Amino acid sequence: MDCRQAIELMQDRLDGLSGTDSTLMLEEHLAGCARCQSEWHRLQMLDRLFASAQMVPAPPYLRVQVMARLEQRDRTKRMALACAALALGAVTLALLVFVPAFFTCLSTAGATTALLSGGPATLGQLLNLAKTLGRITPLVVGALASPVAAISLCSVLVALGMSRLLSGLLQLSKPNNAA
Amino acid sequence: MPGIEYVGRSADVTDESKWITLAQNGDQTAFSRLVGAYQTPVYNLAYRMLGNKADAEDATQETFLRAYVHLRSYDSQRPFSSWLLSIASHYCIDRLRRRRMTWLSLEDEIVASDGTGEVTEIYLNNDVPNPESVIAQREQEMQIQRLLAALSPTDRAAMTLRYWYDYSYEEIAEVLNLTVSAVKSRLHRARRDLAHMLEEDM
Repeated sequence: MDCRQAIELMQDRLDGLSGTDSTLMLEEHLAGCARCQSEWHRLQMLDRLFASAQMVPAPPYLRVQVMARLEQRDRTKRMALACAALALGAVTLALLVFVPAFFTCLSTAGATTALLSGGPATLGQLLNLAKTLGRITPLVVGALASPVAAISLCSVLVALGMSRLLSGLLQLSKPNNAA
Repeated sequence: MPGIEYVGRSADVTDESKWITLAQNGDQTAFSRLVGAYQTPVYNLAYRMLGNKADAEDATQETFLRAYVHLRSYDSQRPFSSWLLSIASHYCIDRLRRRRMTWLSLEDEIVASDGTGEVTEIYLNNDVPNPESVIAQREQEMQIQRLLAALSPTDRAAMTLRYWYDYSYEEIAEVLNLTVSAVKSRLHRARRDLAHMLEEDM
Protein backbone atom coordinates (compact mmCIF):
# COMPACT_ATOMS: atom_id res chain seq x y z
CA MET A 1 0.00 0.00 0.00
CA ASP A 2 1.30 3.46 -0.84
CA CYS A 3 0.89 6.62 1.24
CA ARG A 4 -1.95 7.93 -0.93
CA GLN A 5 -3.99 4.78 -0.31
CA ALA A 6 -3.11 4.92 3.39
CA ILE A 7 -4.45 8.48 3.66
CA GLU A 8 -7.63 7.36 1.92
CA LEU A 9 -8.00 4.60 4.51
CA MET A 10 -7.40 7.08 7.33
CA GLN A 11 -10.27 9.23 6.05
CA ASP A 12 -12.52 6.17 5.73
CA ARG A 13 -11.66 5.18 9.25
CA LEU A 14 -12.55 8.63 10.60
CA ASP A 15 -15.87 8.35 8.79
CA GLY A 16 -16.48 4.91 10.24
CA LEU A 17 -16.31 3.31 6.79
CA SER A 18 -13.30 1.07 7.15
CA GLY A 19 -13.56 -2.70 7.66
CA THR A 20 -11.29 -4.94 9.71
CA ASP A 21 -9.05 -5.78 6.76
CA SER A 22 -8.42 -2.21 5.77
CA THR A 23 -7.81 -1.24 9.41
CA LEU A 24 -5.13 -3.92 9.64
CA MET A 25 -3.60 -2.80 6.35
CA LEU A 26 -3.48 0.77 7.60
CA GLU A 27 -1.90 -0.29 10.90
CA GLU A 28 0.78 -2.19 9.00
CA HIS A 29 1.51 0.79 6.78
CA LEU A 30 1.62 3.18 9.74
CA ALA A 31 4.10 0.96 11.58
CA GLY A 32 6.62 1.51 8.81
CA CYS A 33 5.87 5.07 7.62
CA ALA A 34 6.72 8.05 9.84
CA ARG A 35 5.15 10.57 7.41
CA CYS A 36 1.81 8.81 7.46
CA GLN A 37 2.03 8.48 11.24
CA SER A 38 2.21 12.26 11.58
CA GLU A 39 -0.59 12.68 9.06
CA TRP A 40 -2.74 10.21 11.00
CA HIS A 41 -1.94 12.00 14.24
CA ARG A 42 -2.94 15.36 12.72
CA LEU A 43 -6.16 13.99 11.26
CA GLN A 44 -7.13 12.36 14.54
CA MET A 45 -6.47 15.59 16.42
CA LEU A 46 -8.71 17.52 14.05
CA ASP A 47 -11.39 14.84 14.19
CA ARG A 48 -11.38 14.91 18.00
CA LEU A 49 -11.66 18.69 18.06
CA PHE A 50 -14.61 18.77 15.68
CA ALA A 51 -16.30 15.75 17.21
CA SER A 52 -16.22 17.39 20.64
CA ALA A 53 -17.87 20.59 19.40
CA GLN A 54 -21.39 21.12 20.57
CA MET A 55 -24.36 22.39 18.69
CA VAL A 56 -25.01 26.07 19.34
CA PRO A 57 -28.58 26.37 20.59
CA ALA A 58 -30.85 28.90 18.91
CA PRO A 59 -31.65 31.91 21.10
CA PRO A 60 -35.04 31.49 22.80
CA TYR A 61 -36.56 34.51 21.06
CA LEU A 62 -35.80 33.28 17.55
CA ARG A 63 -39.05 31.39 17.10
CA VAL A 64 -41.06 34.47 18.06
CA GLN A 65 -39.05 36.57 15.60
CA VAL A 66 -39.64 34.10 12.78
CA MET A 67 -43.36 33.98 13.45
CA ALA A 68 -43.52 37.79 13.69
CA ARG A 69 -41.85 38.11 10.28
CA LEU A 70 -44.26 35.57 8.83
CA GLU A 71 -47.21 37.47 10.29
CA GLN A 72 -45.83 40.70 8.86
CA ARG A 73 -45.38 39.07 5.48
CA ASP A 74 -48.97 37.81 5.48
CA ARG A 75 -50.26 41.21 6.59
CA THR A 76 -48.36 42.91 3.79
CA LYS A 77 -49.75 40.41 1.30
CA ARG A 78 -53.30 41.02 2.54
CA MET A 79 -52.72 44.76 2.36
CA ALA A 80 -51.48 44.49 -1.24
CA LEU A 81 -54.59 42.53 -2.20
CA ALA A 82 -56.82 45.05 -0.44
CA CYS A 83 -55.09 47.93 -2.24
CA ALA A 84 -55.49 46.24 -5.60
CA ALA A 85 -59.19 45.59 -4.92
CA LEU A 86 -59.70 49.18 -3.76
CA ALA A 87 -57.97 50.60 -6.82
CA LEU A 88 -60.10 48.41 -9.08
CA GLY A 89 -63.22 49.49 -7.19
CA ALA A 90 -62.25 53.15 -7.48
CA VAL A 91 -61.76 52.90 -11.24
CA THR A 92 -65.07 51.05 -11.69
CA LEU A 93 -66.95 53.53 -9.53
CA ALA A 94 -65.40 56.45 -11.32
CA LEU A 95 -66.37 55.01 -14.68
CA LEU A 96 -69.90 54.20 -13.52
CA VAL A 97 -70.48 57.72 -12.24
CA PHE A 98 -68.42 59.67 -14.70
CA VAL A 99 -69.64 58.19 -17.98
CA PRO A 100 -73.37 58.92 -17.42
CA ALA A 101 -72.44 62.33 -16.00
CA PHE A 102 -70.39 63.05 -19.09
CA PHE A 103 -73.29 62.21 -21.39
CA THR A 104 -75.71 64.27 -19.28
CA CYS A 105 -73.39 67.23 -19.65
CA LEU A 106 -73.13 66.65 -23.38
CA SER A 107 -76.88 66.49 -23.88
CA THR A 108 -77.48 69.51 -21.66
CA ALA A 109 -74.83 71.46 -23.49
CA GLY A 110 -76.37 70.42 -26.82
CA ALA A 111 -79.84 71.61 -25.76
CA THR A 112 -78.48 74.92 -24.55
CA THR A 113 -76.55 75.47 -27.76
CA ALA A 114 -79.65 74.66 -29.81
CA LEU A 115 -81.71 77.06 -27.77
CA LEU A 116 -79.12 79.82 -28.07
CA SER A 117 -78.55 79.30 -31.78
CA GLY A 118 -82.07 80.53 -32.52
CA GLY A 119 -81.54 83.46 -30.21
CA PRO A 120 -84.02 84.61 -27.54
CA ALA A 121 -86.45 86.21 -29.90
CA THR A 122 -89.14 86.79 -27.33
CA LEU A 123 -89.22 87.50 -23.63
CA GLY A 124 -90.86 84.13 -23.11
CA GLN A 125 -87.96 82.38 -24.82
CA LEU A 126 -85.50 84.35 -22.71
CA LEU A 127 -87.32 83.31 -19.56
CA ASN A 128 -87.33 79.69 -20.74
CA LEU A 129 -83.59 79.84 -21.33
CA ALA A 130 -82.97 81.26 -17.86
CA LYS A 131 -85.17 78.55 -16.35
CA THR A 132 -83.33 75.86 -18.29
CA LEU A 133 -79.94 77.19 -17.22
CA GLY A 134 -81.13 77.39 -13.61
CA ARG A 135 -82.38 73.81 -13.78
CA ILE A 136 -79.32 72.33 -15.43
CA THR A 137 -76.59 74.13 -13.44
CA PRO A 138 -76.99 72.09 -10.21
CA LEU A 139 -77.32 68.95 -12.35
CA VAL A 140 -74.03 69.69 -14.13
CA VAL A 141 -72.25 70.61 -10.90
CA GLY A 142 -73.67 67.54 -9.13
CA ALA A 143 -72.82 65.27 -12.04
CA LEU A 144 -69.21 66.48 -12.08
CA ALA A 145 -68.80 66.75 -8.31
CA SER A 146 -69.77 63.18 -7.47
CA PRO A 147 -67.15 61.45 -9.69
CA VAL A 148 -64.50 63.96 -8.63
CA ALA A 149 -65.34 63.32 -4.96
CA ALA A 150 -65.42 59.55 -5.49
CA ILE A 151 -62.07 59.53 -7.30
CA SER A 152 -60.48 61.79 -4.69
CA LEU A 153 -61.74 59.62 -1.84
CA CYS A 154 -60.51 56.44 -3.50
CA SER A 155 -57.15 58.04 -4.31
CA VAL A 156 -56.68 59.03 -0.69
CA LEU A 157 -57.58 55.51 0.45
CA VAL A 158 -55.28 53.88 -2.11
CA ALA A 159 -52.44 56.28 -1.22
CA LEU A 160 -52.86 55.45 2.47
CA GLY A 161 -52.91 51.74 1.72
CA MET A 162 -49.86 51.99 -0.55
CA SER A 163 -47.86 53.91 2.03
CA ARG A 164 -48.61 51.26 4.66
CA LEU A 165 -47.78 48.57 2.13
CA LEU A 166 -44.46 50.20 1.31
CA SER A 167 -43.54 50.65 4.96
CA GLY A 168 -44.48 47.00 5.53
CA LEU A 169 -42.28 45.90 2.63
CA LEU A 170 -39.40 48.01 3.91
CA GLN A 171 -39.69 46.50 7.36
CA LEU A 172 -39.96 43.04 5.87
CA SER A 173 -36.81 43.43 3.84
CA LYS A 174 -34.92 44.83 6.82
CA PRO A 175 -33.04 42.13 8.73
CA ASN A 176 -34.59 41.76 12.14
CA ASN A 177 -31.85 41.15 14.64
CA ALA A 178 -33.40 42.78 17.62
CA ALA A 179 -32.84 40.63 20.64
CA MET B 1 -23.54 13.15 16.48
CA PRO B 2 -21.67 15.38 18.87
CA GLY B 3 -23.35 17.99 20.99
CA ILE B 4 -26.96 18.43 21.84
CA GLU B 5 -29.38 16.08 20.22
CA TYR B 6 -31.68 18.39 18.40
CA VAL B 7 -35.40 18.03 18.63
CA GLY B 8 -35.89 17.69 14.90
CA ARG B 9 -34.30 14.32 14.51
CA SER B 10 -35.90 12.85 17.57
CA ALA B 11 -39.34 14.40 16.98
CA ASP B 12 -42.15 11.96 16.44
CA VAL B 13 -42.39 11.37 12.70
CA THR B 14 -46.19 11.16 12.75
CA ASP B 15 -46.45 14.46 14.59
CA GLU B 16 -43.97 16.01 12.21
CA SER B 17 -45.81 14.97 9.06
CA LYS B 18 -49.06 16.19 10.64
CA TRP B 19 -47.50 19.59 11.33
CA ILE B 20 -46.09 19.74 7.80
CA THR B 21 -49.47 18.95 6.22
CA LEU B 22 -51.22 21.52 8.39
CA ALA B 23 -48.54 24.12 7.68
CA GLN B 24 -48.82 23.43 3.94
CA ASN B 25 -52.48 24.39 4.28
CA GLY B 26 -51.55 27.69 5.89
CA ASP B 27 -51.75 26.72 9.58
CA GLN B 28 -49.24 29.03 11.25
CA THR B 29 -49.45 27.30 14.63
CA ALA B 30 -48.31 24.07 13.00
CA PHE B 31 -45.49 25.91 11.25
CA SER B 32 -44.50 27.47 14.56
CA ARG B 33 -44.08 23.95 15.97
CA LEU B 34 -41.79 23.09 13.07
CA VAL B 35 -39.78 26.24 13.75
CA GLY B 36 -39.51 25.25 17.40
CA ALA B 37 -38.34 21.76 16.50
CA TYR B 38 -35.77 22.81 13.91
CA GLN B 39 -34.54 26.23 15.01
CA THR B 40 -31.44 24.87 16.72
CA PRO B 41 -30.19 22.70 13.83
CA VAL B 42 -30.80 25.55 11.37
CA TYR B 43 -29.24 28.15 13.67
CA ASN B 44 -26.21 25.98 14.42
CA LEU B 45 -25.57 25.41 10.71
CA ALA B 46 -25.87 29.14 10.03
CA TYR B 47 -23.63 30.01 12.97
CA ARG B 48 -20.96 27.50 11.95
CA MET B 49 -21.00 28.82 8.40
CA LEU B 50 -21.38 32.56 8.95
CA GLY B 51 -19.44 32.78 12.20
CA ASN B 52 -21.47 35.30 14.17
CA LYS B 53 -24.72 35.40 16.07
CA ALA B 54 -26.36 38.30 14.22
CA ASP B 55 -25.87 36.79 10.76
CA ALA B 56 -26.84 33.35 12.03
CA GLU B 57 -30.11 34.70 13.46
CA ASP B 58 -30.91 36.51 10.25
CA ALA B 59 -30.07 33.45 8.15
CA THR B 60 -32.27 31.28 10.36
CA GLN B 61 -35.18 33.67 9.94
CA GLU B 62 -34.65 33.78 6.17
CA THR B 63 -34.47 29.99 6.00
CA PHE B 64 -37.81 29.58 7.75
CA LEU B 65 -39.44 32.31 5.66
CA ARG B 66 -38.25 30.61 2.48
CA ALA B 67 -39.37 27.24 3.81
CA TYR B 68 -42.83 28.66 4.54
CA VAL B 69 -43.15 30.16 1.07
CA HIS B 70 -42.01 26.95 -0.66
CA LEU B 71 -43.60 24.50 1.75
CA ARG B 72 -45.97 23.17 -0.90
CA SER B 73 -43.03 22.09 -3.04
CA TYR B 74 -41.59 19.98 -0.20
CA ASP B 75 -41.45 16.31 -1.15
CA SER B 76 -42.59 14.25 1.84
CA GLN B 77 -40.41 11.33 0.68
CA ARG B 78 -37.40 13.34 1.72
CA PRO B 79 -36.53 14.03 5.38
CA PHE B 80 -37.81 17.44 6.37
CA SER B 81 -34.55 18.19 8.20
CA SER B 82 -32.52 17.64 5.00
CA TRP B 83 -34.86 19.87 3.02
CA LEU B 84 -34.60 22.63 5.61
CA LEU B 85 -30.82 22.32 5.99
CA SER B 86 -30.52 22.44 2.22
CA ILE B 87 -32.33 25.80 2.16
CA ALA B 88 -30.13 27.05 5.02
CA SER B 89 -26.88 25.83 3.42
CA HIS B 90 -27.60 27.42 0.07
CA TYR B 91 -28.62 30.68 1.72
CA CYS B 92 -25.41 30.75 3.79
CA ILE B 93 -23.23 29.82 0.78
CA ASP B 94 -24.78 32.70 -1.22
CA ARG B 95 -24.31 35.05 1.67
CA LEU B 96 -20.65 34.09 2.09
CA ARG B 97 -20.07 34.59 -1.64
CA ARG B 98 -21.68 38.02 -1.49
CA ARG B 99 -19.55 38.81 1.54
CA ARG B 100 -16.45 37.84 -0.38
CA MET B 101 -17.53 40.02 -3.29
CA THR B 102 -17.73 43.01 -0.98
CA TRP B 103 -14.03 42.43 -0.28
CA LEU B 104 -14.55 41.93 3.39
CA SER B 105 -11.22 40.97 4.85
CA LEU B 106 -10.75 37.69 6.62
CA GLU B 107 -9.98 39.56 9.82
CA ASP B 108 -13.46 41.04 9.80
CA GLU B 109 -14.80 37.60 9.49
CA ILE B 110 -13.40 36.60 12.86
CA VAL B 111 -15.70 33.84 13.64
CA ALA B 112 -16.80 32.44 16.95
CA SER B 113 -17.68 35.97 17.87
CA ASP B 114 -20.92 37.89 17.73
CA GLY B 115 -19.29 40.99 16.33
CA THR B 116 -18.56 42.34 19.78
CA GLY B 117 -15.69 39.99 20.46
CA GLU B 118 -17.86 37.83 22.68
CA VAL B 119 -17.82 34.12 22.01
CA THR B 120 -21.14 32.36 21.97
CA GLU B 121 -21.64 30.50 25.21
CA ILE B 122 -22.71 26.94 24.90
CA TYR B 123 -23.95 25.30 28.05
CA LEU B 124 -25.50 21.92 27.76
CA ASN B 125 -27.09 21.85 31.16
CA ASN B 126 -28.18 24.52 33.53
CA ASP B 127 -25.09 23.90 35.65
CA VAL B 128 -23.01 26.97 36.22
CA PRO B 129 -19.72 26.21 34.47
CA ASN B 130 -16.45 26.88 36.22
CA PRO B 131 -14.29 29.67 34.77
CA GLU B 132 -11.53 27.34 33.53
CA SER B 133 -13.92 25.20 31.54
CA VAL B 134 -15.61 28.29 30.11
CA ILE B 135 -12.25 29.63 28.95
CA ALA B 136 -11.26 26.25 27.52
CA GLN B 137 -14.59 25.96 25.73
CA ARG B 138 -14.24 29.47 24.32
CA GLU B 139 -10.78 28.76 23.02
CA GLN B 140 -11.92 25.53 21.46
CA GLU B 141 -14.90 27.26 19.85
CA MET B 142 -12.72 30.03 18.47
CA GLN B 143 -10.29 27.50 17.09
CA ILE B 144 -13.06 25.57 15.36
CA GLN B 145 -14.60 28.70 13.87
CA ARG B 146 -11.20 29.98 12.76
CA LEU B 147 -10.57 26.70 10.98
CA LEU B 148 -14.01 26.66 9.37
CA ALA B 149 -13.52 30.25 8.18
CA ALA B 150 -10.49 29.13 6.18
CA LEU B 151 -12.64 26.85 4.04
CA SER B 152 -14.65 27.69 0.94
CA PRO B 153 -18.40 28.17 1.61
CA THR B 154 -19.32 24.75 0.20
CA ASP B 155 -16.56 22.95 2.11
CA ARG B 156 -17.67 24.72 5.26
CA ALA B 157 -21.18 23.40 4.74
CA ALA B 158 -19.91 19.88 4.04
CA MET B 159 -17.74 19.81 7.19
CA THR B 160 -20.58 21.17 9.31
CA LEU B 161 -23.06 18.63 8.01
CA ARG B 162 -20.55 15.84 8.56
CA TYR B 163 -19.56 16.72 12.11
CA TRP B 164 -22.61 18.34 13.71
CA TYR B 165 -25.34 16.40 11.92
CA ASP B 166 -23.54 13.13 11.38
CA TYR B 167 -24.63 13.16 7.74
CA SER B 168 -23.27 10.54 5.37
CA TYR B 169 -21.60 11.46 2.07
CA GLU B 170 -24.87 10.66 0.31
CA GLU B 171 -26.91 12.89 2.60
CA ILE B 172 -24.44 15.77 2.25
CA ALA B 173 -24.50 15.34 -1.53
CA GLU B 174 -28.29 15.60 -1.51
CA VAL B 175 -28.34 18.68 0.70
CA LEU B 176 -25.64 20.52 -1.27
CA ASN B 177 -26.61 19.31 -4.75
CA LEU B 178 -23.24 17.67 -5.30
CA THR B 179 -22.16 14.22 -6.39
CA VAL B 180 -21.10 11.75 -3.70
CA SER B 181 -17.55 11.65 -5.08
CA ALA B 182 -17.37 15.45 -5.02
CA VAL B 183 -18.45 15.46 -1.37
CA LYS B 184 -15.88 12.81 -0.54
CA SER B 185 -13.01 14.65 -2.19
CA ARG B 186 -14.07 17.99 -0.70
CA LEU B 187 -14.28 16.53 2.80
CA HIS B 188 -10.99 14.70 2.54
CA ARG B 189 -9.17 17.74 1.24
CA ALA B 190 -10.76 20.04 3.80
CA ARG B 191 -9.86 17.68 6.62
CA ARG B 192 -6.25 17.42 5.54
CA ASP B 193 -5.89 21.20 5.10
CA LEU B 194 -7.48 21.90 8.46
CA ALA B 195 -5.36 19.24 10.18
CA HIS B 196 -2.24 21.00 8.95
CA MET B 197 -3.59 24.38 10.03
CA LEU B 198 -4.47 23.02 13.45
CA GLU B 199 -0.99 21.63 13.92
CA GLU B 200 0.54 24.99 13.05
CA ASP B 201 -1.90 26.68 15.38
CA MET B 202 -0.82 24.62 18.37
